[in-house]
Amino acid sequence: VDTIAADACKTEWVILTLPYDHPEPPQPELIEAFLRQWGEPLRWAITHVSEQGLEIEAVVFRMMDR
Amino acid sequence: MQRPFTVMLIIPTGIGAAIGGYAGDALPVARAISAVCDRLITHPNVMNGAQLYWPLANVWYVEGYGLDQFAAGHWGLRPVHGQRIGLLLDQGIEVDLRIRHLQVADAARATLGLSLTDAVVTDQPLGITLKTAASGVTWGTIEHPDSLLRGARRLIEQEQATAIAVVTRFPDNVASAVLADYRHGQGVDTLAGAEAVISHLIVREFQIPCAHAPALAPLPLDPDLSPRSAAEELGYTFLPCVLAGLSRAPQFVTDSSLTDVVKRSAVDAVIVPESACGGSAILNLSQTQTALITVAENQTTLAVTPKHLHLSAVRARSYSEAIGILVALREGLDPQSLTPNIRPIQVRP
Repeated sequence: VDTIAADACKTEWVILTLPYDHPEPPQPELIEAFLRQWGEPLRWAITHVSEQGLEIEAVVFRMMDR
Repeated sequence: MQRPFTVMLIIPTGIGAAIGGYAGDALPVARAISAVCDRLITHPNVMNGAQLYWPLANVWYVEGYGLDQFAAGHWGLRPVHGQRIGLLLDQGIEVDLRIRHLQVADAARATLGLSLTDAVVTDQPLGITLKTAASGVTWGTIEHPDSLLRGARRLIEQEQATAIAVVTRFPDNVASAVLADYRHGQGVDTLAGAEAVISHLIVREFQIPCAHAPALAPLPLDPDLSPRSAAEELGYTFLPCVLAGLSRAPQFVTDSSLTDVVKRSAVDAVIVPESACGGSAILNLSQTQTALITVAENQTTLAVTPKHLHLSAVRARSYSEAIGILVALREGLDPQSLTPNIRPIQVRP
């Protein structure tokens, strides 16, 4: 049962900007691939769109050995 | 025979939605929509009103992470006659409050006839931290997610739970002005973002239905309470709606070869607040034949509209108008034909 050791993982809030400058809808799979640099995305949303790109907020789940 | 007309209703939690941002205050919208479709797929934030709930036979109660996976085409949904619910209690809950929640579970068994396993208490206090971003969206993190997952695994493997209700001790130190705004039907639910993260983690790991209820110390009486927030002040627990919702929540199916499974291609229309189109489910469904209907009146803290994201959408001013659009779609009508402005057909070069 206890396959996940104590303190083996964490959740973390992240905010980042993904460049976006073309007239097509954003690809969610690309956003999630981008977020995986920080951890497995549990919950995310585009919270602002600007000339710089898409502002994305997320909570990610990460094993501590990553 | 026509296929079932299937609608998805999404009102993201923790974004200050004018309708659905408080205590189950989108439930009337869900009830109305369920009357004009064969199947309504929606999520706990829409259906949960603390001690108030309204079971509807054609409404599927699908946790947000599972909803996103369904919309992405990764998971399917399979209806069930009933779920065996495991109750997972945060060790951080005080003894009295823990007993209260166990009594809620017993009441659900005795009064509603629901099937519950014995409860499990996490082996550590989960340690919830709340956060409100500059965008106004609320989030939360868990100090000991490993303990949450161990508790859920015990319920599944030792108690044979097929769905999980989690009750977590939330901080009482929410800023008084923020809490007062929420109780008066303004601002953003500070707990909502963290609640979503808790259930999302369990659904991601175990692919079974899950929903969350916070445990909090009772608040002093506020005579100016908003009707939209009032459902959360009826007592000391938010658990009854969660148990009722989970009791018939559909199973998640990850094996695409199985039959008798509803897949995202079954969704005819999805309804979302106009300013909150930047979530996973909407972006995924925008790649399909599903009609996207946005509701302008349901304002949020965000300003991420179909126009910003180059999404094709049918705009409704209100949920009443959205319901009219659904009826048109259900009957095979072009919603545009109900307006005075019909663009003449053009000949493509």
